[in-house]
Amino acid sequence: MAAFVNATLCRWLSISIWTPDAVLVALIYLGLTSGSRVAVIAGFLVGIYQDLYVPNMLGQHALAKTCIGYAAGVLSDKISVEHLPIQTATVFSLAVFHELFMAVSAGGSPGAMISRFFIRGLPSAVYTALFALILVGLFGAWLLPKEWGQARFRGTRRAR
Amino acid sequence: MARDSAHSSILFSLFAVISVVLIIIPGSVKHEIASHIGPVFFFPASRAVALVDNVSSVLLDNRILRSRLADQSVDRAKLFELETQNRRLRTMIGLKEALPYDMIPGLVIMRPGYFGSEYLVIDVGEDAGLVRGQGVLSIDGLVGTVVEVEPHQALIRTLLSTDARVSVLITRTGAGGILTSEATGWFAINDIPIEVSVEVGDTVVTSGLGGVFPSGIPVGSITGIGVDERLLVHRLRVSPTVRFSRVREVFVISKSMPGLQGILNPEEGNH
Repeated sequence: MAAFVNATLCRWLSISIWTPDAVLVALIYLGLTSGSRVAVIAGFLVGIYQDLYVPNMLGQHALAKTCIGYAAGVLSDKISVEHLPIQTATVFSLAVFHELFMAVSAGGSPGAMISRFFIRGLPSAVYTALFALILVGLFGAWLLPKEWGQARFRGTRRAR
Repeated sequence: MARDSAHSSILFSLFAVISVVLIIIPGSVKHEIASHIGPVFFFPASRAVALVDNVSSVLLDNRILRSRLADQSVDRAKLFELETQNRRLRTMIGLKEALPYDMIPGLVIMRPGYFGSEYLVIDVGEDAGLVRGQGVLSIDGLVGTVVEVEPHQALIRTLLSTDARVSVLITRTGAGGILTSEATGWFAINDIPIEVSVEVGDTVVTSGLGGVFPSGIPVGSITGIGVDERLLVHRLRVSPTVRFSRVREVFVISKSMPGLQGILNPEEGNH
């Protein structure tokens, strides 16, 4: 579903070379809500799916998404992620890691990697975090666990 | 919870190793793997994405086609009008060639509203050689006469005018009479002797008397027969052949017929 949204809606939302990554947002929220076990499997499968578009990159997206899924699951255990600003910050930081990984794994000179990250990767990470913020802000009541909404008001940490 | 964490760590390690292996294997092997598992992964998503692309393409095509359809409907209406006009003009040309008179074609440009179709304005006048008193025909039959002429247009008084009089005869029997106009849009002939045989459906044409109209021009057909027992004449109702409200093109007979004097309108001296 997220891949479908990525290939259609996000293409229409792109600004120049910067596109929000709906797959990444979905994966992070899967890790935050369902834990790292589910998110690792999902991340690996989604990563392989994206790698098949460019066989030369086989394994790169898979590794990146696997790490993202695992990190999101671990973060959900370590910090309180019910609040929207924390969710947005989590999405942003994981998106930056993802873009950094992809910029490095694409190869080339250090200068090329750096320019690739700062020109394309970092703005895309910002756009992805903004996309997540708007999406969850508008549809969070339907997409996220109900107890998160309650915790947001009570200020308590979600119990696993 | 610790067990779950351990499971997660094991899974993460496993998938990370697989990913690293996939990264380091040669490119040819990567392509081989991708060619085998790609179709399995891609088929559902590709179909969904293609469906969305198709829908937007269909919507765009639909918008373009609707616009073209609207344009073509307008063109079709124009074409139909042109075809109808073409048919009328061909008939007029045939009529012009068939009749041994000089005729000046004209288009109806106005119907003075107050008078309905009793008067018509055409787009030719003194510049084309029109003069007062000339007869006017259409492809369907007799229309009327020219009553006023200006440099580039002329006023025609049609047979619908209650002042109109035309010398006519019934083609089947040859009986002649004077055709007048009723206020209701019908014509009347009230002077055919009672002993003359008349039937509903008989055609009425101009007699040629009067020097304005040639003989044989259709005027109407008999649709009603009455009798005036005091004067011993038929009272005939005649339906006109010309639909005066729809006349578009007319011919003005540029030369009057020579010969016999007919029944004249006191005001005009003719018709």
